[in-house]
Amino acid sequence: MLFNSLSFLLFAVVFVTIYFLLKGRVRIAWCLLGSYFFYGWWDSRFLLLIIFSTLLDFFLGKRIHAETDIKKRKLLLWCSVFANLGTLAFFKYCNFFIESFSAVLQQVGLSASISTLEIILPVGISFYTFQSMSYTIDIYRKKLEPEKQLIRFATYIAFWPQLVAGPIVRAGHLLPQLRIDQRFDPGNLVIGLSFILWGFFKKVVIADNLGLYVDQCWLEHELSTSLTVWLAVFFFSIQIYCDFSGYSSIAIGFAKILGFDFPRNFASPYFAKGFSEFWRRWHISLSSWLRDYLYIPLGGNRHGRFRTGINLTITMLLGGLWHGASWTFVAWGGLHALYLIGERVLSRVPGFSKISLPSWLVNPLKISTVFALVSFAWIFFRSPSFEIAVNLIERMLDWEEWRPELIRNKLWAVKGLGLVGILVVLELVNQRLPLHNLALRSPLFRMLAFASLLWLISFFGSFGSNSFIYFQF
Amino acid sequence: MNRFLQRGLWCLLFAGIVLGGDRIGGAALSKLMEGADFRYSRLYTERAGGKILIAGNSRGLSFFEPHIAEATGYSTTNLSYNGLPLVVASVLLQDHIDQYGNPEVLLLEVSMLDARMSESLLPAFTAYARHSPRLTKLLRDRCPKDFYASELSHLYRYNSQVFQRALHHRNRSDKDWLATNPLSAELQESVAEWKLEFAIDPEAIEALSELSKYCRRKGVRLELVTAPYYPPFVDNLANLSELQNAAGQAAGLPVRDFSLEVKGPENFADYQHLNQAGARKFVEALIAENVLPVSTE
Repeated sequence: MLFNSLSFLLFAVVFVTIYFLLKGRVRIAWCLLGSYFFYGWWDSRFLLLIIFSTLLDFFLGKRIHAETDIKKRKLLLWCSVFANLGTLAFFKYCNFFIESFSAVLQQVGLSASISTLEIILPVGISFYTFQSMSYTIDIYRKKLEPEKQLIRFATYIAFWPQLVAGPIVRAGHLLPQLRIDQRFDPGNLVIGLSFILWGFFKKVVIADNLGLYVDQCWLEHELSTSLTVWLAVFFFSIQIYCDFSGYSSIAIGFAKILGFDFPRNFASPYFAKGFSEFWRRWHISLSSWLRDYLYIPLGGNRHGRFRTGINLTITMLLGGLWHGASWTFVAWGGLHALYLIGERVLSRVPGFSKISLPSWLVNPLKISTVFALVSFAWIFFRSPSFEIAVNLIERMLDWEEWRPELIRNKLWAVKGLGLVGILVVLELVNQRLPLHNLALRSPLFRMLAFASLLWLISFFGSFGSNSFIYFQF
Repeated sequence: MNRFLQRGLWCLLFAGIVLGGDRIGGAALSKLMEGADFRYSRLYTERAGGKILIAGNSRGLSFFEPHIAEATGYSTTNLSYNGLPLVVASVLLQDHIDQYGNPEVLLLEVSMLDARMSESLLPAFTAYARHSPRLTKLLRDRCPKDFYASELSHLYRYNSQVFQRALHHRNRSDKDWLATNPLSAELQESVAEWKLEFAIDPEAIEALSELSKYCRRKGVRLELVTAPYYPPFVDNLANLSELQNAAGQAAGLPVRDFSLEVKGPENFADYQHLNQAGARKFVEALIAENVLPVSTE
């Protein structure tokens, strides 16, 4: 079920109303039922996968906690990790591995006709798998007590606001909140609505409109001229941010109305002045997951510069692969690894960090550089193949076509630039004076802000029921 | 005051602000759109009325108004638009004829029977719906969600590329809306790689049949035309003759085929679209074949 659909709006109204009429375990059961209905709306067969993941980690979590033998504890943990990653690998990476293996065989001169399988990728599998895995790992690390009630644990895994595209909420954060009967709070409703409206604005006004231009450019990449591609790459950087952060915002908003606090998933990432900072601001729930469950266990930065570089590379490559079963995602992760390593190397160059320039000059320069390099990496992320990515880069460098009159779809381009302008102003304002804080304080401001967002959505919104980009991951 | 009542009043006030702002914004945008020098704004504000009336999709733009007016001596109204569905074109043409009287000739480019893209543009015409009962009925029947959404929110009526195009032509004429660049060397080389198969739209066939009957009833001369394609590309059109036959049968008229009439890459912006230089040659051909009348005055 898409957040930006009429069926979801109906679902949300019915769900929230009944939710506040119930209490205790019945309410939790309602949450679970609603969440399975929400997911099953897309394809009910894949509910079995979520149920499998839930049952597996619920019982393994209990066993890990009860077990005192370190070796057995470890064995049980590996069972959980292998089962979760095995399921993910089968549904998401099976064909990727087959194709890659086949390509390697062909490279060494062996003709291989290995056929791929027809596998449907279950929506949100990467999100709930990571969420479920973090539960058993945290119990193994003795950071978390296992949940006693299966129904509550099942709700934690499948909770609909964040089920299909995050944020990835850790068990230690959400389970305690699920143990409390949240009361209806008008303040939460105001904060929740401000997050939801802001999220819808980002999704249907900015992301979906820019998507029209971007999709056209990538679809007809052979006909796209240099400036068209530059614009499309710029637009895609904004599109993916607004699409994903819009979803997160809507999820956080609905959770807030229900009385739950979800962690922030984006913190104006394109205002980052470095790549480490970018990753502390972008998809925070995933980057912190990768940091805590992959980078630090690999050794983090504790074993010298070389090992740190290796650990960063492994983390970012796997982070890239998490997004999708394609080498272009690996390349995207690899580029970010390079950026992070480059940043560390530069910061240690004697004299480099001592160059003192006024901050009004240095900060915009740093922000622009980070944005430009992040945008460059997005080309690989967005492209279905390396050939298309390379073709687009070649087109960008074709200076003979660097003429404004050759820009394609000028009307969309102008509209897109205008919308980006509106977004930047609103982001800057929202950064200093958060909308939900002001909305809570002043009823008049609240009404005007909400009305303005509704007007903007009505006048600029794209209502083609466009799916969220991160659903495919 | 009771808290419940207070909240209720706030909600009412909020609804009032949202609706009031929406109506004020909608009225302002309507004024902007009606004043634009854009084809449909002119059509519905008594500023059209060409004696040569044209409709088509993006290929219909190659019936270049300034050249036609210059060569024939007749005022010309071209109602073509990128991806214009025939069901909408039919409504616009009938509205034009009802409002301004019979033209000397009505030209229709037959690639409009192609179903691709047609649905996506339909809701964009909610912007002009209140000017035309025919358009209102069409939108209510064909895209009820968008129609009723545009009734609920007047701002939503103007949330379309047609309105943005009108805004673009607020203070500049849209009559020169045709590319000037020649076909690039790259496109010339890769012509064999591009194929096209028309998806003939049964609803467009029906609309054409209705339009043809309307023209007969009104005594309007209707001409069905296939505008030029880049000649090496014509072989890549899988079913052009099928499309022409379908159009001919629906209207009970022959289709005048100019698909190979203009040659040379200097006359085309891409495989399917003439540029301004090519459009001039096309007009000459239309006159030579008596498709376009020439004023004797």
